[in-house]
Amino acid sequence: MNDAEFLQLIRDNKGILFKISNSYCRNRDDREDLMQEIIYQLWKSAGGFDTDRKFSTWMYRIALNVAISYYRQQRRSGLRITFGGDLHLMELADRPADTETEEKIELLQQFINEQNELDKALMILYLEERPYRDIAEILGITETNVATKLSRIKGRLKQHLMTLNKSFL
Amino acid sequence: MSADEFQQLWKAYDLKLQKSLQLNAQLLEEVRSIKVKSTFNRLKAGRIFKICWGVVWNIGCGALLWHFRSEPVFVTCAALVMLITAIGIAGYSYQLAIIQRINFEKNILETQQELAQLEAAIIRTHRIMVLQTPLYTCFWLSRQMIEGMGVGAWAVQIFFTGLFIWGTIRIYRAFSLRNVGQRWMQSVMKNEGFSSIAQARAFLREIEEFRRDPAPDSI
Repeated sequence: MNDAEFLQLIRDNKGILFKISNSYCRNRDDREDLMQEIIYQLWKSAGGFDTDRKFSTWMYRIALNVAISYYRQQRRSGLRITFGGDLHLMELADRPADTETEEKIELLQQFINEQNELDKALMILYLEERPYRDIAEILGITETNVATKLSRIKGRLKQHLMTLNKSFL
Repeated sequence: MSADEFQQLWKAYDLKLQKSLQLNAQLLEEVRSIKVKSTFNRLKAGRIFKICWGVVWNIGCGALLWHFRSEPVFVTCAALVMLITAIGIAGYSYQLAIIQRINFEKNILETQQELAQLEAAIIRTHRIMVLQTPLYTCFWLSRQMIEGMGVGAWAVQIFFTGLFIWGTIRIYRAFSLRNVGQRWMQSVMKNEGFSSIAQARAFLREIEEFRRDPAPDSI
C-alpha cells in the first residue's frame, strides 16, 4: 500500500477517528492530541497491514488501543504538534442541525463517556454495527462474552435514558 | 428507545460526520514527519540508557570495591549497591522486553495487559532502586574514622543514616500502596509516562474481569 492509498483509506474512515477520539476525550485539545497519536500509530503500523484484511477492523484495533492507553495515562507530556494559524487535523463544518437528533446523540455520547475504557470500546464497536465475531477479535474475548456484555450495556443504556426522561418530566 | 434505535442514531451521527468532517490531508503528512519521537521510542531509549549506565556503574563499583577491600563498611555498601543495581538492570531489561512486545495491532486486551504490566514493572524497579539510598550516607566511613569517632559524630551519623532509612522505607511502602493522589509519586511516574501502580493493577484486574466468560445464570 502506497502513501496515497493509505491517505485515501484514512480519509474514507475519518468518521471512525473522530468518533473514537470524541468518545475518549471531550476536550478539543485532548481530542486533537489523541487524533494525532492515532494517526501516527496508523502510519507507523501501515507496513504490517495485510491488504487482504478489512482496513476498518485493523484501524479500530489500533485506534482503540491508542485511545485506551491515552485515556489511562491521562498523559499531557506527549509531543503535541500545534499547527500554525489555528489549523486542526479535523474540523466540523457548520451545517444546519436537526436539534432533536443532536440532543439524542449528545445523550448517547454522554452515556458512552461514562463507561469504563473497555466497555466504551465495546459500545463503540456495537454502535458501528460490527459483527460479534469482529468485536470479539478486536477486543480479544469470546463471542459469547461479547453478547453478554452488550446485553448488560444495553440494559444500562435503557435505564440511563429512562432516568433522564423522568428527570426532564 | 430500542437497541436498533441506538444504532440508527449512531448511523445518523456517522452520516453527519461524513458530510461535515473536513480532514486536512496536508496536516496528516505533517503528523507523520514531525511525530517521530513516540512515547515508546523515548521509553525504549530511556531503558537502554539506564541498562548501560547500570553496567558501567557496577563495573566502577566493582573496581572501587576491590581497591578498598580492606574497608568493611565500604565493601558492604558497595556490594549492596551493586546487588540492587544488578536487580535494577534486570528490571529495566524486563521492561525493554515488554516494550518490544507491545504492538497496537494486537487485540485490545492483549495490548492493554502488556501496557499495564509495563507500568507495574516500572514501579517495581523504582521501588527496588530506592532501597540503595541510605547506603550513600555511610559508605565513606573508613576503619580509621570509625575508631576515632566521638559520641557526637556517632549521633550525627546515626541520625542521618536513620533518617534516610526511614525515608526510604516510607517511599518503598508508598509505591506499593494505593497512593495515587500523592503528588510526588505522580511526578515520578509522569516522568516515565505513566500514572501509578495502583491504577495499573486495577486495570489488570479489570482486564481479567472483562476477559472472563460470564456464568450463564449471570446473563
